[in-house]
Amino acid sequence: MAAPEKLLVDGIRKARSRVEPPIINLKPVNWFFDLNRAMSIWPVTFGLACCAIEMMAVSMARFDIARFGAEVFRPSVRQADLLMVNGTVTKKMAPAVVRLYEQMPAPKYVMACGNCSISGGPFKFEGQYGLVEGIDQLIPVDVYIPGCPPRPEAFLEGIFKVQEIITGRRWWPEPKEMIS
Amino acid sequence: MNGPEQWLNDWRKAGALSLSRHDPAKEGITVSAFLPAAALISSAEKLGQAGYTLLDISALEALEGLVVTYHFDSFKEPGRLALRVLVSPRKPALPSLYSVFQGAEWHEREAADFFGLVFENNPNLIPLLLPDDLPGPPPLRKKNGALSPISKLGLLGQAEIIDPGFGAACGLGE
Repeated sequence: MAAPEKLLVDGIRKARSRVEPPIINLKPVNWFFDLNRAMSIWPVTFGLACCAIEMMAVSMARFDIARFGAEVFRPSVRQADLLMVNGTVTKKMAPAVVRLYEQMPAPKYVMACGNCSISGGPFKFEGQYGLVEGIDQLIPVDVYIPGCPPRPEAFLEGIFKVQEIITGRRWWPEPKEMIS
Repeated sequence: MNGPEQWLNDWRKAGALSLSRHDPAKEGITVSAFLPAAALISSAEKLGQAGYTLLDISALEALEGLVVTYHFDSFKEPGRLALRVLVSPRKPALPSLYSVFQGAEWHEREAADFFGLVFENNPNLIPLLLPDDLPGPPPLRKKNGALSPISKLGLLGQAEIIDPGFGAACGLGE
């Protein structure tokens, strides 16, 4: 018998599925597919708290996530490849987040958006009873976007970072402030 | 039409433990009363018949026990009213107001979540906001030593103690 699973957060189990390497790995073919994936990321329409408002802002005309190919927000995780965990993850919601992650077909990527989903943020204090302090305890996180909430520009940087993870390079020029 | 003074008379007849008058500009309510748990439903029924609605149910742990507050408001008359009940923290049971105000069901479930209150005859007393299997005691119950007596919580306004036992328990005996 397998040893009982260690539960990190009160009674909430970790995601069991993981992303396995491709069965047939033809490098030029996979590179081509990865490039296409990176330029057409489909995120999930999924918001838990105020960071989701910023996600809506970044998908609207002013910040226009469509410029980078990620505007097709899917209502079902089965059609999506990017899960943005936007905001406060309560212990009541956490099992649903784990289930959403497990339902996503691979390759799949997770962004922890905002301080709450990174570490519990402003709600991390002695005696708090309702929150998961960091969604990375339950599902693997690829990109962390700090902020309370993050600016829409930070969301765009997060998308760039996911593209970098998929293809191995950055595709967009860096803003001057970031270089200096 | 019942003014605040008539409500006070009403509650006195219903066996209130204490009656209070408040400054609505400062405290948000006009009059309030500590009632015995047995008089709660009949008093709420009278308020319901006079057009009052239940605003919320809140709880507070004091040295003497759990103070459960029911706030009422009306569209016809200015000023909110509050009914309060003191329950023992060891056996925190209260009758449910579901039969009078259906919406009380959710408020009671919330109070049950956070304070471990048991509302008898609530048809669906399952957790509303917290997960079903949250370990440990109800999260808003205080640890010993962090409790204040009712007289210091600012709940009583200009109080008139009717039940001497209640007054003595709250340190307000005449």
